[in-house]
Amino acid sequence: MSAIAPHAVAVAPWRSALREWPASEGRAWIFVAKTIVAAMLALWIAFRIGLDSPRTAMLTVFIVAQPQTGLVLAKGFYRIAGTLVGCAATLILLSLFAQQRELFLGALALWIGLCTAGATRARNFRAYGFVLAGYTACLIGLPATQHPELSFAIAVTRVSEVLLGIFCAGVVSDLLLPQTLGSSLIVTVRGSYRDFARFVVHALQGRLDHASIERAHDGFLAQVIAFEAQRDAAYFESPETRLRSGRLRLLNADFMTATTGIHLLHQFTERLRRRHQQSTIDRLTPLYAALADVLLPADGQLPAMAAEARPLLARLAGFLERLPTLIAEAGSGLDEAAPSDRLDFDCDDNLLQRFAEDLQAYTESYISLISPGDRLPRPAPPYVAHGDAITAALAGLRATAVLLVVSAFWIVTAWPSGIGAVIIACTLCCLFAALPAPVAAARGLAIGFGAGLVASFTCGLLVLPQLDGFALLVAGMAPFIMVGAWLIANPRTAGIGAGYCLMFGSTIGLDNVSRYDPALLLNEGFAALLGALIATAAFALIVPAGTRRLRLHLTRSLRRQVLLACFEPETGLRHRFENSTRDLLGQLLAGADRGSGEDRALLARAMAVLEAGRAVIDLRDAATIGTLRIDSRSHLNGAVRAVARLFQKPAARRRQQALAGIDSAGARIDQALDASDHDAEERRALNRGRTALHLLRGLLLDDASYAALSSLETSLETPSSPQGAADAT
Amino acid sequence: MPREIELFGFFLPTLLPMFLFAFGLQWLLDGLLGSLGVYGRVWHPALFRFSLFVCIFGALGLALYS
Repeated sequence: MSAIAPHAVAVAPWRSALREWPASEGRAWIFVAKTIVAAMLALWIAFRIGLDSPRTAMLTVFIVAQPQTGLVLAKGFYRIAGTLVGCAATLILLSLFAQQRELFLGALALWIGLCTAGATRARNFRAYGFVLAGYTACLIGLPATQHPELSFAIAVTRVSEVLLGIFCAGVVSDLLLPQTLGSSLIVTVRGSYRDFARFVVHALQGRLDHASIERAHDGFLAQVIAFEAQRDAAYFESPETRLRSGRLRLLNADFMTATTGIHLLHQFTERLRRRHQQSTIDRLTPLYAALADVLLPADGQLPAMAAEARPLLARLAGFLERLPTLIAEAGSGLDEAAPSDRLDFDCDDNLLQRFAEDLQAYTESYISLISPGDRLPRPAPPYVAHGDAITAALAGLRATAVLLVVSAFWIVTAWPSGIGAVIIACTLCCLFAALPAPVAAARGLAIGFGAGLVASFTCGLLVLPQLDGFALLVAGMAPFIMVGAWLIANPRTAGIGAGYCLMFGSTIGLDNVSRYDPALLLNEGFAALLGALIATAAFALIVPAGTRRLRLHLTRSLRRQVLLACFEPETGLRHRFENSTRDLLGQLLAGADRGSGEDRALLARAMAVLEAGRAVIDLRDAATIGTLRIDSRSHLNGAVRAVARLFQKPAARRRQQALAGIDSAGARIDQALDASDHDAEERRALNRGRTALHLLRGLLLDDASYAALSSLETSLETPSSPQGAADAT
Repeated sequence: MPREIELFGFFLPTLLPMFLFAFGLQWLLDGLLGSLGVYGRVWHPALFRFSLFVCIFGALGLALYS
């Protein structure tokens, strides 16, 4: 017995490690193996049917290589679309300016600028399509300037190689040990529902402090944005996911609304606490506790799956029915209190009721995922991204400038490998324009380029000449590809891996007639490296994306989102306002300096903006009531305009004017409520308008919230005082 | 049916538009089978879909080269 025991002990950890391997490191290695198989398949087919440059097919496999199938298919789809559009554009440009290289380059620069601007405005893989349309034009157009008669053949070759590469990558990714986005989406949805429910329970029970609520909110926002990207890509994966796509979009929108709801509730209570309104808070606490009890069943288990959320939905509906009585109970005796106390109480009830409704909607759309054949509970609104026109225009200008400068250098110096440098510089300008930290990304890629050049030199000049036949070619190249694919599989080194694979694939010199030309390899490699450096320099010099001025502009736009709520047409405005504000906040947070507390200042500002925008929309709803007296209506609209002016540019005088406008509008609504010529529906809208006005008043009077609207600019304008941003929150 | 079609003076194999047509057909059929819940009963849905595509494209190709 004693001889067996140590043996058993030694085997157990091995077994468990072996069982866990596919979920941890295994994923990366499966991806590595799949990439090699796909690349070699593409290469073999390209050799077999005699395409002009087989390495492009292999390169395409490297470029679309992603661990999950949906990402490969989405990237592949937009790559094909972009390639076709870029091809058509180049052929048109070539037919117009074939005789004049300078004119053609000018027109090409404009096209690249347009595509880059488009890529900056679009999101996710759609942006990638724009990028492709831009740089495919370079890839085909530039070689064609030297051989205009071959331009159509170059275009056809390019398209068929790209198609082949994407086809191989897609088929291999989907068939061999598939790792689908659809299944990881289900896990994400379940996790975020449960986490959010737990968070809400803790927040309502008052167990979380302000800092941890802020942190959670930051996490929720990141979830919303990442989820939209995944949903978008999973659309290409399988018909099941396609069928659920609208539902998932609805779920994400509802999640977003619910996170805002809980934060506004928290914010309002916090403000009451700052004003020492303890008696009002004491009245509200039992209401919060009641909602927390509804969410948390007796056994303390939160729903882990959509089906388990059904009882919760019934309990929520019951709670909403009981809520008016609960409110009346909690508010008994308030009639003797000051009118402002009554308003505080009403305001908070209103927020609580709305939040419970949001939660109900979120649960409903979560449950609806079970039966994708049924009708949607509500129509799913589209995801509204915030596209900034100025950022896009600047990115476009930068790409145009880079193309013009590098190609001028190429023409003036008659540099034989100049085309390579132009192509790489343009590609990177397109590719990185939409990233929050393009300089870092370009640096990573440049490192990858360097490593890839070394690998390609070793493999192409030392290893491959010794080998003969396709099987040995595969064996010789596999270790080098392995390194690149492994780098791509790890999120931290993905940029370096992409650069490595790009450089390795494009300089390895796999053509139908194998060539042994160290000088050519070095020339091409150095041209690409130089192109990458020029692009990096352009991002650092020509309107740097992280520049204070641009950030200042974006933080201002965040504040001016309220103007959208003030003046845009009302249909679907709530969702549009909410979604684009959040998207903009996400863009700002991605580049925020977390050490100096800038992220917290941004979050505080976004919350103030969301609060004000929601209130303004309520107010506008109240102003559209048909039976409202005309002069009252003009007072309400006057208040909206005064708030808009304040958010356009905060100033002490505008603050006073906005407060005065709010007070006079409040008096008008009180008047209208006292008169009895409105039906129940209209009274409801008027009441909402009244609480909205009170909410706005509280927001503007609260110095901390008001400071969130103006302090960020001062801290960005004087970069030496990072304290300013931290003090604002 | 001609095996090559002319486009701007270049000859393209007819298989290329046929490939795209097969792709569209596959997309439609895929959605139909998905909504019927067929993929829930298949061992390897991706392999099934790919095989289906090969069948469609092969059948179209046979029409061209028979």
